[in-house]
Amino acid sequence: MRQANEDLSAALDRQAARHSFRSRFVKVGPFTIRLRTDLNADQLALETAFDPSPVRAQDKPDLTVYVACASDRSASVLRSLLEPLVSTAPSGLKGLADRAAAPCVVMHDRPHQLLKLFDANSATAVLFIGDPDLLPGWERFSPLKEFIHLLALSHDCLLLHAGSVVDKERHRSALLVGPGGAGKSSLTAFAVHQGMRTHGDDYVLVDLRAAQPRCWAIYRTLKLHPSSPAAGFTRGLSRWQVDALSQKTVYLGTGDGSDASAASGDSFAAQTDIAGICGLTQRASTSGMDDRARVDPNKNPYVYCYMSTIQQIPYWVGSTLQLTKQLHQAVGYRALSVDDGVGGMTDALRRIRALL
Amino acid sequence: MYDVSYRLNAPTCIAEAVDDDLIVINLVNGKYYNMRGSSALAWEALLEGCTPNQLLRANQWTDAETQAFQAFVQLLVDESLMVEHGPAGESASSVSIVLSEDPAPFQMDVFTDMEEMLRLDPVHEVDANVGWPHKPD
Repeated sequence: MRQANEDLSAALDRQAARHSFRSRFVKVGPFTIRLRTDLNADQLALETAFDPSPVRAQDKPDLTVYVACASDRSASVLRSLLEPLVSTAPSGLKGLADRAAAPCVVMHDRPHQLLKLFDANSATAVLFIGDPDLLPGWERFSPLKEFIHLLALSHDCLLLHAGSVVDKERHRSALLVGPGGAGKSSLTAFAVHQGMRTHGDDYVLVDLRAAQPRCWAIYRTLKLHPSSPAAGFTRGLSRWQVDALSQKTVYLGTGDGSDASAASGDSFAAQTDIAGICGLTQRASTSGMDDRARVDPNKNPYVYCYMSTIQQIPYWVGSTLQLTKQLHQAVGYRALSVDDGVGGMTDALRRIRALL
Repeated sequence: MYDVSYRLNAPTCIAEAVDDDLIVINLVNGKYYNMRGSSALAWEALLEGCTPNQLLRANQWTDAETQAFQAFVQLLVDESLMVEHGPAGESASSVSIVLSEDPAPFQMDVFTDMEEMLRLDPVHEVDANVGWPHKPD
């Protein structure tokens, strides 16, 4: 299998060279990803959602991701390289439960004509796009999420389904967790409007390799539905586009995440120490929350905090459980109920500031 | 069933103890479980090789508590979280589990909200408009 993967990696490299794939480097927390895109994939500008800090070219990035569109002339060769893997790769949660059993993960999203492959042994991934017009919004606003999850787990880090607010003087962050509709994006946007910074509203990367867990930004995007109580509070955010499917407006955190950028009022923060985790619930209105809202954040705090991460990306679940356990034991947790409207968000922010 | 030892039904299930919480996930049917207090202690004792009857003999539980424990063991087996491992382990020692501060002894929270979802293939059967983890209508 290892030989086959090395062959695949070499074949991809040859194809990329032959068809003049563009090479870009993006920063994903402590990691560097080399994006190699064909002519059509390059126009998708997937790098826009990532940390905008300039990254020097590296001979050995942590992961090389090839992105190719079926409409490009390189497509047929790439597809012939990948298709045998689709039928032989393990599938289902059990088959993909840990890296030892499934170092190579193949994901085939037929409705959107996407084929994704991640190979831990060769640090190579492929995103094959059958039809760019079918590329869903989440692949632009949170691109390569599955690859980043698997890359992070390969290095004892964790992609966590969480929003984040940052105290820019103390360089400490609070992670906001909870199921869809719990208010992560609204509270994050409101905090930014009030002068705090953020690592993003939906996913962060947690580095557990040191005694003090650190939080890194992955994406600088923040999405707000027009019905959000924070819809009018977008100071510190730059409007990017409206997602046609969800009707959410997608914003970008401003600046490059540096201290100098923070001093000039920018909102995007690259990395901080994690001060605590807040399990968000909406006290008055729960109409927007998904089924996981039935879990009690006081009685079942671990389940409330982390099962949505497992649900979002259910690959290598065993490693995810172990690392979320490590995080849960290393930082403080509190359930945080948020009342409706601006008053509720103001009160919640006051309690978060006290935590920070 | 009370005179045999049990083991985790791996690799179908994975379990992790986190502070006072014990989390078990069934990777085949997508159910997950949360145990705390006496149920987490009993789970740990069973996995260490104690048989249910050894635990019963080592503890002076009331009839109601004994019934709750037996129902708990039955549920572990019914839900395929544990499977029979054989006779009591030689190194197994009885464990004292104090129930006086546990308002609901041997309770296990069963969550099925991901059951249907996780039975789906994460990339094959999803809502085309909003994607995983939303299931199609």
